[in-house]
Amino acid sequence: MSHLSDIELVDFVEQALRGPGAAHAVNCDHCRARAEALRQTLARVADAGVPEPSPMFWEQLPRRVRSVIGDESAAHSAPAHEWFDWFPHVGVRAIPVAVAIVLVIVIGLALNTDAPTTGDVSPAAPGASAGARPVEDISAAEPTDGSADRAWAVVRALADDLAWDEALDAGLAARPDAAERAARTLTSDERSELLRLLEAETKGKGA
Amino acid sequence: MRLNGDSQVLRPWALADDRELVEACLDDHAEAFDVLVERHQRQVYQLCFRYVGNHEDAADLVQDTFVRVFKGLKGFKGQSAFTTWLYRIAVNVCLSRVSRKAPAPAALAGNDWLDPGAVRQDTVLLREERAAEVRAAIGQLAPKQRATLILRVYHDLPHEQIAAILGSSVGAAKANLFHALSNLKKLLQ
Repeated sequence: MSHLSDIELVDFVEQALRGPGAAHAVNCDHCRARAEALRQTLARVADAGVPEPSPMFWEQLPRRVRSVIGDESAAHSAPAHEWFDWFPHVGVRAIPVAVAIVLVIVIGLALNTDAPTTGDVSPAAPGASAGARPVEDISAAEPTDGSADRAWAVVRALADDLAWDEALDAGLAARPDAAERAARTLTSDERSELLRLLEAETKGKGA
Repeated sequence: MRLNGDSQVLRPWALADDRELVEACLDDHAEAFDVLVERHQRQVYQLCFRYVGNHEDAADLVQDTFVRVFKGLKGFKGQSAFTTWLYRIAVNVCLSRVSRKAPAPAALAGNDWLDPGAVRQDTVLLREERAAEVRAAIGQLAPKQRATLILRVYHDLPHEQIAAILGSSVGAAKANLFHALSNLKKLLQ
């Protein structure tokens, strides 16, 4: 019979080996020597206790656990922000940046469409490439009165300069759920692009 | 409420078993979870301490473990013993921490978090020094070898339970123990 395997040696050391292996171990110097080496290591290891912390540690631990659970429960009971479920590291300061970037993408895609049927030609968004992919023509959804020009001017100010303060000074402010609503209109590719831009933005600002 | 022989008031959950305490927690009895923590905190702390080798990290890991236990109570079906489930969470918390950070064994000097009432003699210091050597060596083991050794040697768990905690077979658990001891023998020479 061959020598004991590693598993059989453990059983032998723990006095749990039965059958032919046990009979072999009794008569085999090699296996007994290996087992003795394991026992000595076990004895030395088993003797290493754990320093006992102060009694205050034991008294405080349940309170600390309860405190953390309470804090996390309070955080979760705050209004849900689905928008941030897939941006785990975006801070509050990135909200206007996120809104502006969403608007940049939406505007950029809109301005890259084919010429609208009305004959009006929308100016290309800054940085838009000539070979941009075709997207659905949203020009038909634009209002035809002059309010569109003022609205787009504000949007472009946000997009170009990320000047959130300017919009606020002008009396315009995003609705609390504006970012979330905007995000819901994005396609999967747009969301991926937005995520990439936000990660680059937060890394650049050391967030 | 009940009174013990010293006329002290006992909390009602102190005599409940783990399963009853879990059910009580799910019924929003917060004090039942305190009893669970108090009942198992020492074992979990010792496991975590042996894993990371210092009090500060062990304290964080213990806290993390019980927070995860609380959050996961609804998912505990009772198909295994509560302690098996608890140890599984603790080991996973330790494995997650170790994967992010190398263990920092505690130095013997400056251990002001230790019980100040303990009498420090030369023999005690020597024993602590040898224990620190062993803990440092254990800290160099591969994660699953380390977990297996700690659960078997210090918590005296059977191989079947260790296998359930680590999600492996009994044979793999025994093999891990063998390799852990073999590697420790080399490290402690």
